[in-house]
Amino acid sequence: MRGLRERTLNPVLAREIKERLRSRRATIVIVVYLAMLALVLQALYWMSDSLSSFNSFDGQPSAASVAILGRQMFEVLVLAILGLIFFIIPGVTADALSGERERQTLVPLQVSLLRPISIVVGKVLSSVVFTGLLVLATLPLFAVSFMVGGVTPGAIMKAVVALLCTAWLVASITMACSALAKRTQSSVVLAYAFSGLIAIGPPLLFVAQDGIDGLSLGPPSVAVLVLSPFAGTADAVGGPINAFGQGEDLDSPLQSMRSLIFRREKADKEDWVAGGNFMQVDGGPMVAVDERGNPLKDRAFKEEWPEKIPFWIRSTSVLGLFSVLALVIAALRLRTPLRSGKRRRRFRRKLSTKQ
Amino acid sequence: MSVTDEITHEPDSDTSPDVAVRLSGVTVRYGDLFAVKDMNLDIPRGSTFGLIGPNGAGKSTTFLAVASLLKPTSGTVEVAGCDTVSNPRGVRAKLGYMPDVMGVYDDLRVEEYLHFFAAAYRVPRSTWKTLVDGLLELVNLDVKRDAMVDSLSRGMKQRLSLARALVHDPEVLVLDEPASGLDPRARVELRDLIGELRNMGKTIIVSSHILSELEEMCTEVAIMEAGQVLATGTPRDIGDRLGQGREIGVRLVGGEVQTFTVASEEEQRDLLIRLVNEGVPVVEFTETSSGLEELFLRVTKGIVQ
Repeated sequence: MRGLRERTLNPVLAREIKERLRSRRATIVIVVYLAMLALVLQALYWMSDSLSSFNSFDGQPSAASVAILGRQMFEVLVLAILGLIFFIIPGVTADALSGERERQTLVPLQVSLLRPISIVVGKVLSSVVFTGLLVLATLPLFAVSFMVGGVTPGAIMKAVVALLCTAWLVASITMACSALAKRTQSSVVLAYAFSGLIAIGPPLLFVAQDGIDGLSLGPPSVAVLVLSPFAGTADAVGGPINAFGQGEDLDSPLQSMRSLIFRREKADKEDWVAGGNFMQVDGGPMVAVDERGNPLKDRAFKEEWPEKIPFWIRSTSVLGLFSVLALVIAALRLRTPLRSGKRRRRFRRKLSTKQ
Repeated sequence: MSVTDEITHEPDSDTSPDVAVRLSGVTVRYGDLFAVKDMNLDIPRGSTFGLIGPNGAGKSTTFLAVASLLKPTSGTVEVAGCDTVSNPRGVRAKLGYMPDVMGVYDDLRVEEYLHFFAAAYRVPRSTWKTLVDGLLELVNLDVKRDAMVDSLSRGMKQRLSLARALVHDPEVLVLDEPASGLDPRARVELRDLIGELRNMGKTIIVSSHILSELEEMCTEVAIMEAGQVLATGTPRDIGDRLGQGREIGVRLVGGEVQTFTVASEEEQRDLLIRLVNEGVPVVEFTETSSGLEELFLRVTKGIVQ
């Protein structure tokens, strides 16, 4: 067994980090990213400052309103970074495999002892590390919201984890696009299309469901929001809400989203109970019953309800599966030896070498 | 130091120990096109084997199959006893492949480039320094150790690519058009380098359009056209089999040069004995080889697929 000293970081990851940090593009991305976030935060501060003063009795903002301001700053920051991840990651990752093909550097990798999955994971991890660097660069901005109040270190930690998970998801999807596309331009277009779909698709579907609801075609369900990293992050990071799904401040974007998810799920649950799947027997706990009202199992209502698993865990699991699927697709595209039955031109493009 | 010390890849078959690469009935089809057709070839261990053929003859396709990048439509390819389809990792541990075009990483130094591939071939980290020092010295790039890869000339990039292919100390080297696009000096340097590698006991399979170079470099050649091997062996053997006579130039005292044609080595010997016995004032007796180029033109028919 090789000693610890002989163990090396995934070679692709090590090389990608080195190359990425040396490139001018990384510096430009970080500077633009920080400038945009600082502007967002400053704009929010100006807007919220006047609001807080207005609400106070003696012209000074109350401790509660300052805490709400801190919470709002934090949540807007998380939301902005989340949005920027969908914007930045496809841009910096789309050429990961198609670029290697175009630069003729893929074949030497394929004939090495690196497994395709190791190449793909190395590249995805490098994008996640880059996102980690961006988040690290944002810490002073997080610190501002932390000092204003209303935000706990735990919430910041949760936010960082949620952002990195989202970066992993977007990078995985982009990697699959990069593996499938013949050229980097196509890869960029595909990656932005899929990332956009993940970012705005589920919320749009949810809103569309509401529209359908108006036509009495069925109740809107939050199930579709499980596919949204924004909703998952909101549930994980959003501030505390009470049993009625109300938060301390519904102006905070993540908290209001979390509140919406909670209330909608509660409504779904009540619909389900009203549908006759559960009933209370002899004043005891709710139990599952058949169509005639006979108890099926002697189990409590809470145990039967499938959504006892927190929303963010369900969302992370489903999106995690998407990410695994994307990685497998990318790895399969890199697998060699290739079958030779394909048309020559297509094959030549795949291997980027002449016949 | 060899990666095969780290990862054991036992041979899949009982291929003769004298054969480094064996292609048995290899056919590669792209749709309706036969890029390689029923190819049978044994490449001896320690040889420098040249694959000659016009564009589209199937040389690069053959190389891709040998490098475990392409699964033949039918037939098998074995490298050092490992099958390229059922045991590609075994093949990769024993084979160094240098494609005709070397892609570069924009922001990597020469030393880092080799470190990266040493890691990719799972060479123990503790040996990297010695390994890279040795490789850079071998390819004469030690002064460029800290240079960015993309700043190297084409010849230097080719030599670095060769060093990359050698990073795991492979038994077999596959070099696809290594001299393509190089200036005369870079070609000579590359040829000397390949000679050094042959002296190190490597089996080298090389393709080139510059037949005179291959003639100097290779111990054996295979001439391909339209996906088929038309002739294999040493250039002299091929010439003999084709019934092509050997041209012997004889320079006499006073500078007069006479040319004789003989069919075999025996005839060549007899000619020399006869000239000496007849008292002809011979000062130089040389075989003026008609060369690979002529052989190539005689064997091939100019078929383009």
